[in-house]
Amino acid sequence: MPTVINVYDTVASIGVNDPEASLTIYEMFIGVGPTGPTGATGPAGASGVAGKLPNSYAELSSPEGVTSATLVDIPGMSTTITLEEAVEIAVLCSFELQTQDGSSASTIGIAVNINGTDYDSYSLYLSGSNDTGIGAITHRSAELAPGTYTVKMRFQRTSGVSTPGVNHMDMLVMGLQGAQGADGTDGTVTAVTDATSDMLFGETNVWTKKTLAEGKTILGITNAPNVATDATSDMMFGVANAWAKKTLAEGKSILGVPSAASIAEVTTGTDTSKFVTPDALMNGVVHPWGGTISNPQAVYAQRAQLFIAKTASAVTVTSIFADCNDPTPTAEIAWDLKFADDMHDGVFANATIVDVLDTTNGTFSATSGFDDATIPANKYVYLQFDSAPHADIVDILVDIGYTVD
Amino acid sequence: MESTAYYDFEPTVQGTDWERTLEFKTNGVADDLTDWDARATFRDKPNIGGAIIIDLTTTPNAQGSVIVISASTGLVTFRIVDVDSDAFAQDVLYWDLKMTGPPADGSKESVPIRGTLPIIRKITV
Repeated sequence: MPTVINVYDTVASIGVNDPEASLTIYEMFIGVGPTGPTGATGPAGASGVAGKLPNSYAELSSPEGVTSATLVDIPGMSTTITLEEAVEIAVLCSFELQTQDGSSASTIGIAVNINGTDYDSYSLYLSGSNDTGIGAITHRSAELAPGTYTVKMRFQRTSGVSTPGVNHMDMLVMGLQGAQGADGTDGTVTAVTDATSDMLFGETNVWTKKTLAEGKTILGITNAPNVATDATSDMMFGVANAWAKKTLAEGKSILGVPSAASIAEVTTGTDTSKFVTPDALMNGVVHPWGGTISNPQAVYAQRAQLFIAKTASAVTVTSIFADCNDPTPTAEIAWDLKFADDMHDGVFANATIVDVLDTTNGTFSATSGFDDATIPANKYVYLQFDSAPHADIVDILVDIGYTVD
Repeated sequence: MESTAYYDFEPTVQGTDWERTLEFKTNGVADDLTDWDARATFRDKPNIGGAIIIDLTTTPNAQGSVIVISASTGLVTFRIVDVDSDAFAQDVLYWDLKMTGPPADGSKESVPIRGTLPIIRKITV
């Protein structure tokens, strides 16, 4: 039952004024009645046919316009179809056309294209912005050999300056051959082998014989490099993801192995990286300063300072030992081991005490706890009596150990 | 398949209030639009690729433009307020009306009418 739409300028005009327009439409789903009684069961259908025709479908999802004067592809309206037999291709296409932009008249052309060749090019005149049209093209190709074909819809503006176009388009492509049967089972592999190292690999759904080299390539197994060697000391190193031969010297350099110095290099001693220096040899060796002081009282009478040595290089005192001849002297010896910048009377610039050596029972011994065991180079090392040794003490043995820094 | 009527509204002036009422009748009797929904989109081109100029639904927009359904009398009223039409800078707008039936009937959709709304540019601010 048709439905009438009356257009009024306002609600108040209804029943008072005539409508601006009165339009009729059909089956707007309005006034749908109650569901009718269920019909009788229909006759049984024919037996189904297995398989289906090869077919493909494309649909335009959004409007497309064209201004090209020659046929161009309609976006999204391309598909492919594969023929198993030599048959024709049927193309069924329907569409709605409309001016997409502009208000003046134009003419649009539509054509089918199979593998690059246009067929059935037809045109439609659009009078202006509001003009629309619908159309359809049915095309059957000549008999085509088995294979895959690309089918497209194309359009062009054959006249005018507005932009004609397609609002909607459906394209159904069919191969007019019998229905394709189900896939057969895989055949038996009959590849002939001629080497014990042959192997079979799956390749595009069939088994293919591969040689050992081909198989290793597929498996990603890399052969050791076939590089000639000319010395028993040659070796292989990985360089930039490849194996490269290196000589002994090159290999030792890569490994960080230092070369031993030759006899000549050690003899000449010009390269300190090739031999041990004297200083290095002396490291840790304890040297002695010492001797016996005879009649220390007489020595003191001459001078309270008894100089031992001048340091050629910095040294560290490691032990001090002093022992008198009399273990029970009337008075113990009070003295210090010191160093200074000079040995001149009344000067002794920058005098520094290495340790206080006052004896107990005529003896003093120390290997640690010194006041300042480190003596710089070019210092005068000496013993400083605090007072005159007692006459009981005839001599004193002094033994001082040091290492060169 | 339902058909769609085509109707070009009379021109309206940019920046003015605009209203039109559609009366749906079948056999001379107003259609019952109970539980129906309506939506009308106005674009600058006659297809979905055009820019949306105004989208009328049964829920008023921020300015008050709206579609009003009078269910018992079969009326669908478009109402665009001047604040919205002030932005109409096109010579013509393209529109259609999508009606969605009651959910109890499957919410069937139809476009009973479409057309244009010509715009006359305003002179007075």
